[in-house]
Amino acid sequence: MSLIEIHNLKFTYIEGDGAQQKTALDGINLEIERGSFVAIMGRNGSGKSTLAKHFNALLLPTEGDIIIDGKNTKDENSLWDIRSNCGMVFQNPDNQLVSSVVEDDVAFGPENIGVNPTEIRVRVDKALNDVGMYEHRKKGPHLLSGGQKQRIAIAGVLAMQPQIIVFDEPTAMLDPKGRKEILSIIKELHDSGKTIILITHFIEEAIEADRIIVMEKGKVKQDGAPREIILGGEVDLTFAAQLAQKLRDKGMSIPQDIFTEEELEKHLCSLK
Amino acid sequence: MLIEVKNLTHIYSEGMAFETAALQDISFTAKPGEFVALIGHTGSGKSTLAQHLNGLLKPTSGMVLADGKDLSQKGKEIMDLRHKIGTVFQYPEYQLFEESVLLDVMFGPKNIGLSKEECEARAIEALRIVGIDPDEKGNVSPFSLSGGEKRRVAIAGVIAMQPEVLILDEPTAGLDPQGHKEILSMIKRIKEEKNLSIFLVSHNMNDVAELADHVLVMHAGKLVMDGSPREVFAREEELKAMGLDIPDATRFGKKFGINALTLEELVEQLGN
Repeated sequence: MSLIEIHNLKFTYIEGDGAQQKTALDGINLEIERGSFVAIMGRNGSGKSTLAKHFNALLLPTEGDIIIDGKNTKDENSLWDIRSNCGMVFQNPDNQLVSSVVEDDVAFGPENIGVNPTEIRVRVDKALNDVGMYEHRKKGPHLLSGGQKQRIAIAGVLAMQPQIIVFDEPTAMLDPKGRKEILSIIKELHDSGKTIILITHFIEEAIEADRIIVMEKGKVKQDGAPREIILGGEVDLTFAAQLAQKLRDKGMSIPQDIFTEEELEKHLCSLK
Repeated sequence: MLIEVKNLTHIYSEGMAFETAALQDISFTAKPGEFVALIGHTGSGKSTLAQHLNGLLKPTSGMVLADGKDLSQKGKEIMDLRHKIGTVFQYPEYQLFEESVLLDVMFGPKNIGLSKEECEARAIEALRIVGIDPDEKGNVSPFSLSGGEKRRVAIAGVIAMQPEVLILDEPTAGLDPQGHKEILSMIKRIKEEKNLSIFLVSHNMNDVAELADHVLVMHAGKLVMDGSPREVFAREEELKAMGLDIPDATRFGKKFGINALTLEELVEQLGN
């Protein structure tokens, strides 16, 4: 059985006075394996974030089921297990930090589920080390940069020791430096065995995943390896692929399967 | 409109424990019709500087001159001048409030006492420039639009004031790639049709390279570089030390000894 199973998931929002309904998710079927790194792409309003909120039962399906590690999110008795097992990191770092001291913030989750204090200390130190923020543990979050705050939010999730971490556009509000920091932490977490779901608009981030799911109007439009998806034309090209395309148009011979700058550089050097 | 910034210093919470010099001794000149990009790490002072350009913040010392007049002074003349400097803040769609798109765009002109006919004519013209069809979308609620459309309606509200200077603070933040492209082509259209001066605050160096004639680099409250995109982006090491990127085309071109700013230039030169 897969770590995450989604069966015919539908979700309908009630708008305004309740007379209007809007279908945000319209029959999603997915299986996500343990240890995989899945990127979810798609235009604003395609249902990506609504789907993300189903992974840890922040939203419950109008129809269909979502099963996390064998537990159905509709089962109230499993709610806390599911939420500890599946952490979420959102777009705006300022909305996710609750304490006035970094290490208290990271301890907030484990404290809430009654982990014993010695164990909390161990978990908080490890989580802060994992995101490279241990030396900032006594600071106030308001003194940190956006990228650093986002790392604290990730540490808070890690302290719950989840198997799955869902990132909902974690870099959208960060500057380029913060963006790189977060992406390299996501890759490290994946290497350490976590199952990663990354919602992003940036193809340069998504290409790091081993699978891309493209959503459109509440449905899965495409699902496959990053290279297949890029060739399929459903998402933007990476910078290197754009450049390769334009050079091909100029009559240069460049293979179709070039997606990264390293690959293109190597190929161009071989032409010299 | 000629903008001259002379020895501008701004200190937040002066005399208090948290006194911070957000801007220190900034001087530059932006010629009428120039496209100026303001870049810098988060917290470098870009937005604080932008807020001085239309007199929203007053200098602690130094001054900002618009067509030779000091914006921190009082009086009708200065007020009229400030109306000609339009600012689009980050996430401007949060400022939409009217029941229809057209009424929202008319709000600014109405506030400066123009007739209903004049306001409507200006709003229709402004919507056309931002790429929103006034016949199709003029009467719908702004809240029913997509994220990118909402943002363009908010920008139309500023365009309807017929500014001579337009300040855009990260106008593409948080949009999907399609929304991003729409905003870029809108900016180009505004520039071509209205020939106004534009100040663009951005983290996206590819956009800066494509659009700007003049780049200002802020770091820790100081203006550290002031030049053409080519001059500024040639200083890669210094930019990197400040946590800033250079355009993809410039970075990739360097590997082949090519000095390019945009993808088109890079293709041109690599092709030879």
